[in-house]
Amino acid sequence: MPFKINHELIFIENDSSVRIADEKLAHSIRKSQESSQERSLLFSENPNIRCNNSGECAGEKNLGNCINTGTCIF
Amino acid sequence: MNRLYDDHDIAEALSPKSLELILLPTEKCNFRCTYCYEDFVLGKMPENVINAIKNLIENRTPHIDNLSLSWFGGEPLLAKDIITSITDHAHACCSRHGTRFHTAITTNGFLLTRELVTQLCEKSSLSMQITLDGFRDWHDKTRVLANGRGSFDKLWSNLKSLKTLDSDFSITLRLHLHSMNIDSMKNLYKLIEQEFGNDHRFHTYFHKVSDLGGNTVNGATLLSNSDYLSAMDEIRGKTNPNPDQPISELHLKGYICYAARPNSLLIRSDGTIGKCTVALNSEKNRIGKINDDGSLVIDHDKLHPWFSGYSELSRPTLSCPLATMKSRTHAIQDKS
Repeated sequence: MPFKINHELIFIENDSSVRIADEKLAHSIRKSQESSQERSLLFSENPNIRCNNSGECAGEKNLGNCINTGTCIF
Repeated sequence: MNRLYDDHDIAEALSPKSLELILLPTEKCNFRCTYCYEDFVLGKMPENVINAIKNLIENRTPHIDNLSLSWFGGEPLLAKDIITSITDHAHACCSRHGTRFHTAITTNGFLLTRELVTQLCEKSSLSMQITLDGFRDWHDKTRVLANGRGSFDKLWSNLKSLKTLDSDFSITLRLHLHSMNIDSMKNLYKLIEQEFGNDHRFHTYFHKVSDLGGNTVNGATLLSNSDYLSAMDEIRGKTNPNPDQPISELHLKGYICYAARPNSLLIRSDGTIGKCTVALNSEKNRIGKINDDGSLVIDHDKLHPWFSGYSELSRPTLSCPLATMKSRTHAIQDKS
């Protein structure tokens, strides 16, 4: 069952970060975010390192593998 | 209805590890689209707001995994210097902290150049959205330059020019549909298939013309959802779109509008903070401002209604909080 959140408990701090003013709920959301992140970390893509025209990563020593978004995974 | 969202959709929209800034580097435009809702009053972003945004990016990038800068306007490419200046700064910050950096531009495409695209692709992953209102006959009627001339030929030549680049980018050609331009759109769609069909960087996405306010939209030409679906099938010459590739706003699942996402903020050219790119002049959409040091002042009484969809996990409210806020206001006015 997806999270239902009283919208008046959602705040944007003055540094632009999001805060949920309910510790238990915030913890559950954090857990869900971490599990999403773990899935995406199976392949860690770095869009800041692009592929060159030979299909190799353009970073130092051409480390990593090019994928079809034109970026590198490590 | 509620099952359209899972906990990951909600968690992602609330994640403090991502930040999307929708930036309006100018609110002037070189087009005068006949249905436009904007008033073009505010000009180019002044230096103090540019620096404030750079400070915000500098302060947040050590703490986030994903930064997205979405350029909107007005026509953002009238302020290319601001786009490249902030992009360069964001790229340096993201590279220092291993933060993923994405750039998106919503543009009419008239001023889009190979040089700019190449430059931005070197700094971030890049996606662009460009609207077409049909083939030349219709596009030139509605997407008119400020001097009254049509814009199709120049836009088409710019798109063809980008096709010859090696850079990896993504362009969504947003096809605006109403009851009068279906035949014209059919011709355009054929042309797009011929020219860009084999290039994975170009995509099409339909959008139904709707009444977003002002007096410029002729209600009689708006399509019902069922007519809209039939028109898309007719234009594409096929049915049953791939569910992994939504072809219009009716095909999106789990969509949460940026205005309902707490980790997405609109910063106007004068430094005003808002949530929605449509209701630019609504007081409800003036939720705060950015200070010179990059810190934000947020009025949470004004902010909270944009998030009301999370209380009931309502699809209409999460996919367009503005529409729900408008209908609630009308209901209150009707009662009084």
